[in-house]
Amino acid sequence: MSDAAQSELEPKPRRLSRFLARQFLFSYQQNELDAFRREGVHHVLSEDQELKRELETLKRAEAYCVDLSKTKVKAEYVDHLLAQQSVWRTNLAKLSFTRWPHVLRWTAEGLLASAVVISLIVFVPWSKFADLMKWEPRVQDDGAANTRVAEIEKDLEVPQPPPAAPSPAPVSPPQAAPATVSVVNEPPSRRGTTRGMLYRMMMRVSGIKDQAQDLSRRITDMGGAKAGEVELGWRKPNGNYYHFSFPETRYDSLIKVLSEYGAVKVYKNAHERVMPEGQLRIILWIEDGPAAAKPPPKASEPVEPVEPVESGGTEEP
Amino acid sequence: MEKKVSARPDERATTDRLTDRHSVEKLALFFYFCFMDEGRAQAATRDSLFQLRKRRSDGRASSEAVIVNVTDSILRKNPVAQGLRHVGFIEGYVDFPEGSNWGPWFEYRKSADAEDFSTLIWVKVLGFTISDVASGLGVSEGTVKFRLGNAMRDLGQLVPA
Repeated sequence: MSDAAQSELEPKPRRLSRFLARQFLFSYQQNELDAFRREGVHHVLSEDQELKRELETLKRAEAYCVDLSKTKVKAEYVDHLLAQQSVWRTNLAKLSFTRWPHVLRWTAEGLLASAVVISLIVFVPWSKFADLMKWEPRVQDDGAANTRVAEIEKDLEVPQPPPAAPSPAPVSPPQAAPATVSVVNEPPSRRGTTRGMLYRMMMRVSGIKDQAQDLSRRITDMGGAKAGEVELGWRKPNGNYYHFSFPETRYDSLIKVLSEYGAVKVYKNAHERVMPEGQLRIILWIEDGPAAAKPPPKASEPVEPVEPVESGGTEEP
Repeated sequence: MEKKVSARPDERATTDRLTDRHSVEKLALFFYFCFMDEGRAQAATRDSLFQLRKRRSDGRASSEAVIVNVTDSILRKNPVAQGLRHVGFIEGYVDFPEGSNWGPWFEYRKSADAEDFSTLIWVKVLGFTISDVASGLGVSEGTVKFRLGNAMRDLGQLVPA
């Protein structure tokens, strides 16, 4: 085989395109190319002046970066950074809540929750809310409008006392006027511990100021005894206040006596204070003013004891 | 723009190694070259040091790769371009090499691509290897070389012959 033929059979170095040579130029300058590619880039460079200038550019940049890399940071500054880091940031990071031990974190959260609950209990005026929520009975509300209570109206005719109710009190009604007694059960309380009962009686009588002493005497005669801190018939600006204990057996007599003065409304409240057996605790409030309109008598029925309904009570003087 | 993929080192080198004197110097220099503003550079260095201290240690990633990762994240929040109007050449905590010419650097900083710019600092100024930079950024080494070549070409055009 001739030399010419043999040279044709030998692999010729592949010529790189200008584009590829340009892409390889940086690696060529960094001396990171393999021998084959290096030779190809070298070949292109020998023919392309523009690529040569670009290679010079890369060399200048390389030299410039070598110069820049000699820049140093002063030791004082590094010390300052390290000190600042250790004193401030590190301690702050260590105190971070997320880095607390689990036990400590749960304890802190529990304490915080407890503090919130206790604050709510202590500082929120729950009693005022309870007072606002509580239904205050009024003498004027003797109609069907009040839907919060179950009202039982009973008309009593004084000349015909109930046969079942004993009337041992030696009191004779001075007049035979029909009277109205409304017995109202208070709505049940949310508190389930009240076992006693408080009878609240509301009346409106004109000129009660003049009759208060007489009524006090009659209550006392029937066995009533002052309860609370004020005398029977305590005078207030707009009425008289009676707080007394009373024999249960003479309850009907009391109603009769009161009916002589006007219409009586009786509210039975469950109360924390439990009275001795056979004793009732009664709060009678008689307001000055024209007597409430009496509804026409329906029937002559005795005053039946009302089923005790648990209800919240408030302390009275 | 290259996306950071799972190659980003999740597990970090030891905290002591990351926040030793050498690493702090690298951090300070990197941000100084980025911002050319001592105040910004100092704040960024502090932030990056804080992040470095939080990194968990397992020794799989090199400290340089972690530094690249942290400085890149800081730089994304505080782009170089934001501070270009407030450039002030203050020689405070940096010792400049004698006879250095900072004109080309100022010019290059104004016009450089952000990724090329930071790659140039990591590799050519701070002396990190291409594999560390690639590991820190979560990209291939070819990508880093490509960015570096572009950066060198652009910078070289600004450097006087």
